[in-house]
Amino acid sequence: MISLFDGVYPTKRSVSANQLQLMLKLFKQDLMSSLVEISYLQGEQVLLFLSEGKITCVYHNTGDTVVRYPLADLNILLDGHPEGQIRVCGLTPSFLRAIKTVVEQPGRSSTYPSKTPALPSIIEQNQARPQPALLHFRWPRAEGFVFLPGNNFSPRQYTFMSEGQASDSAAAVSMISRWSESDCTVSEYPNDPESDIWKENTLQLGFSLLVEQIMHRHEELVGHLLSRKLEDNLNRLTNSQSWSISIAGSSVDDVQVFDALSDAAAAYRTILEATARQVSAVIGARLLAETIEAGLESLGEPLREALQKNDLLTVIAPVRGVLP
Amino acid sequence: MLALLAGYLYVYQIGPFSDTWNSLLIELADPFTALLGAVMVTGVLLHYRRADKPYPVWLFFTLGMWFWVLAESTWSYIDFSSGATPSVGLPDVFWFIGYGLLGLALVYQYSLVFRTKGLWWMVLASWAGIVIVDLALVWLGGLQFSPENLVNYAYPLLDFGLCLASIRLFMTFGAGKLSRPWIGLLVMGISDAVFAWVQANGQYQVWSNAGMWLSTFMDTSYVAAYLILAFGFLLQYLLLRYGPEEAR
Repeated sequence: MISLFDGVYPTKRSVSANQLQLMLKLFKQDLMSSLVEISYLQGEQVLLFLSEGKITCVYHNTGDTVVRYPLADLNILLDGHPEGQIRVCGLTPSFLRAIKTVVEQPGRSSTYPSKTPALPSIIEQNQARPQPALLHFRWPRAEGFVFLPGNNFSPRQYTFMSEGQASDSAAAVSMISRWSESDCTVSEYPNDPESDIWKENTLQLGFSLLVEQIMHRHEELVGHLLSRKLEDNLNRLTNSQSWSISIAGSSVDDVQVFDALSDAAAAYRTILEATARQVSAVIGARLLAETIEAGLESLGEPLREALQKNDLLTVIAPVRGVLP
Repeated sequence: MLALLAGYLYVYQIGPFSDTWNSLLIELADPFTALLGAVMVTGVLLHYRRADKPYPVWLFFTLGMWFWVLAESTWSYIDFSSGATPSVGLPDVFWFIGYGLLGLALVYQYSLVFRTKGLWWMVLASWAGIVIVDLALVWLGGLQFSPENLVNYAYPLLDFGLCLASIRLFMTFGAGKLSRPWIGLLVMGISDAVFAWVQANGQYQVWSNAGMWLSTFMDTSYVAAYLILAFGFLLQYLLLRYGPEEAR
């Protein structure tokens, strides 16, 4: 059985199928982001991921296997059980990618005990590895996650949850290294190139890191003002498409969970193409091409391959073509 | 800008006002167009924060332009008030300081674009090269090693150096909008180099005395070069003010 945040959200309550449908409607109205766990008899379990009220993923856990369920068939799944035990874990959208990875990769992690003050050095040791990974930290009353893109890139998407308080970014970094409980466990979820979730994760990490490198170089050459204008333009684009992806201070904050890998790739292609077009118009195709080449070189094989397989490099091919 | 240039040519060729007014307007053309460039580049500088990496580029560019305004103004004032300018004087000091500051702007721009360290050695080597070639030109021309001759031949060399540095930046930025101010500096460098060269070897005086159109062309191209430089700054200002999409 998958049990996430059970030390933070231990309370379960019984609900009927009708009550459950009503609760989901309320969650939608309240634009709630959460993990909803519904447990049935014989160890059957349904997990729902909600991002700002919208159900983004449904998983059916039969005890032995976890299967991603089509959203369209959710009602059939829920109505098939007259009663179940519900546990609602309020989160921020930034948790969803990490818990999706944990849910889709059960039994493929290695877990070991650790001490809280040792966590920063564990993260630092792991970030040099060539393969990306997810680290999951568990205390009796708190949990945290961090993605490691590998190849010495800084850890990303820190999230931390304790006593109903969800935090991400800088606050989460601080909480993970200074949490009051001294004993914890660390679970490592390494990149699995065959799994759907890591195909998504590597694409998302590769896209974010490449765009960030382009944005950094752009800001280096043009200064803050034009850089913020470019970010505004890109944020307008993502808002118009209702993607939870924002760019600020040359950093990409991507908490969007797409329905399919192809949807993610299409969105990233659109953003990358817009970025390349606007940056090229200012700094010129040659400098942009050099930045892209250096960026791709630094990414490492798994992330570079994810970009290539999902045709992200085709949108920047005309720019790359200017180099001899 | 075209209207300004046409007006200058009209006064230069036709002389529609009294002699005093005609010569005053002609004298004011260079400081005025240099001032336009300085005002535009100051507008560009004000769009940057001190923490921005391009800030030193535009700071030195701006300071260099203001020193050129001082040089043009003092030169025009001396020329207008006394009818003759000293062969080496205060304007030359301002011009040389201006060249030094523009050189610094180029160094900072190069270090940003090419991420190169050790550029200061290249700058020192360039200055040493300019001094050596300057001495060689005076020697090859069979002239005296006087301050006047050395300064006169230094100008085309300095302009040539500016041109080379600007061409490299212009080619690197390619069709990118950041190339525009450097195109302006390139045009300024070419125009001033030719102007300074024909002045240094006395050809300009020959053309002027003979009333040849080449002297008119040289004077007009000098004003035009300042205007093109100012236009390059204006485009950079619009780019920063409105962004790349709106400032097409």
